[in-house]
Amino acid sequence: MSESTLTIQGKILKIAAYVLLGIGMVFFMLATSSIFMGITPPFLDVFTLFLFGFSLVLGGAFLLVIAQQGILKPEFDTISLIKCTNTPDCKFRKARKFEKDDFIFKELPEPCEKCNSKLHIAAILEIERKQRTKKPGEEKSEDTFKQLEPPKEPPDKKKSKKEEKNP
Amino acid sequence: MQANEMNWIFQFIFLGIFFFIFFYNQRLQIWQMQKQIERALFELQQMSNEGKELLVKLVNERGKPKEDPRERLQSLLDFFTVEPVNMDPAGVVWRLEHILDIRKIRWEKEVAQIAPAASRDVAANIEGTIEATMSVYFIWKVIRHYLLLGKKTKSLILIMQVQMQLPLIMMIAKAIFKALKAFGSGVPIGDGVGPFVVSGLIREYTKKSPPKITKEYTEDVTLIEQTIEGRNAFIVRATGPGARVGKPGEAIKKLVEENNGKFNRLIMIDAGLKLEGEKTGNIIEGVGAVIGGPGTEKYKIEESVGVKYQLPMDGIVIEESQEDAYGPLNKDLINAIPKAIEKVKQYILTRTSEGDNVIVAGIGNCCGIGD
Repeated sequence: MSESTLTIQGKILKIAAYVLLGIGMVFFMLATSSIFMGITPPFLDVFTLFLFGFSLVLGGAFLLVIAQQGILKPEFDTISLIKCTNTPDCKFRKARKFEKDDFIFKELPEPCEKCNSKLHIAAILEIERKQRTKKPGEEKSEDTFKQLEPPKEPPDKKKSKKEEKNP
Repeated sequence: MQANEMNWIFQFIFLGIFFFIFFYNQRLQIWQMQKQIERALFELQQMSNEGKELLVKLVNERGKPKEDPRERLQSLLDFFTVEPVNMDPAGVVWRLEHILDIRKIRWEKEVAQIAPAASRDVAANIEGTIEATMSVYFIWKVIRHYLLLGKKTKSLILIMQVQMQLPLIMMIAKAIFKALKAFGSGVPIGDGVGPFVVSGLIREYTKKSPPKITKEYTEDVTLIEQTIEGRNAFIVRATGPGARVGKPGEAIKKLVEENNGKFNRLIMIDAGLKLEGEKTGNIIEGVGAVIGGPGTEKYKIEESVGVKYQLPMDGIVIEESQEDAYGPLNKDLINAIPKAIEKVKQYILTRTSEGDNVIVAGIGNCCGIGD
């Protein structure tokens, strides 16, 4: 699996696996040098070194297998981006999950909520589902759609409202 | 046990490992490579099986077949097309076109039989899905062939060649698998940016100049006539929203010949493969017939527009990777669409004069992109 198909967690896992493998190999090397050259580090005997090395290599290999098996592959949602046919005069747009028989430039039966003109599908695209911990009862798709929706209020206004509440 | 005895044991183990690696290193290498190929083969088999299941589901859902389509679909997956002989290259383009035509007709009839209730667009999507499933299945078959042959002959060279090319092969297989899923659900793919750009351009000028649409100008190709910035634009694209590419070369040739070559410029927009390190959605420009495929359409454009009427040909390419081209449209490509439309407008404004005739061709697969 190429790096690009892994999520950030997957990449971190892969790095951690390599670190464990590296440390494990160092322990193995220390054990071998202790056997053949008689150089043993203080506080550790040959068997402890071998045991540590073996455990770390095993742990590293396990993490590497998890990272490479694609368990942490990013997930995608297909989105239909709907716009008003009166664009740019009407700024209305919304995003919804792709439905069967959707296609770009398809006119929708429902009218625009703002100007009552016709709505059409302006784009259909695939976007990565955000990796995050979900709160109980929360719709997981909500966050994904927000990426494509225009901000409802300018950030300055929001800030001033907050300031009004908590001066 | 004394330390001296321990040393002897470890020396013995070390020598054992040394001689084992000395004599069997190649076998070990072959074994390691075989395991890698087997893993990839398993993944390919999973993709192929999933593709087949998706195809059967699509046919059953949208085509309402009278009998179980599995057997017929399996025989379609083993379908072959023999390329024309090229020892005598004269006329090879037309022979190739004939083969492609009869293949297309055969597939259309097969799909009509398997999925009688499917609309024209859905039938095109089914055809696209079958083709993508066939490609994944074929890759699986070829890799399995080389793996088994390598095992049989214990040939390092056979195993090594497959193993070394495996990352690229898997990248292509995964990209085709993405296309398979996209065709199955009618989601537009990255290759469709050309038609998307020209349709966006038409919509920008619809209020000023209502377009005159000729459906099926040539097979699976729509011609749209519209005034853009005072120029007479003849816009050519495959008919959507089914997964079709049509024959844009045939349409351009017909258009040019019907008007005795009275055109000032041909502008073509297509998706092009980017090099690693380049950004998806990057727009580049150049000259020539910007069209991929087996080469028959490119030949027609070069012969008619280029050689016969000596018209200038401009090309606008939206760069993307193979995965992007086969997979659903993404944010980078969507963001490139308005920029490409601006580029076409700029071309029309700066390279043609008012009253000129200009052909604008959007090349690509129209899956999920309406006219």
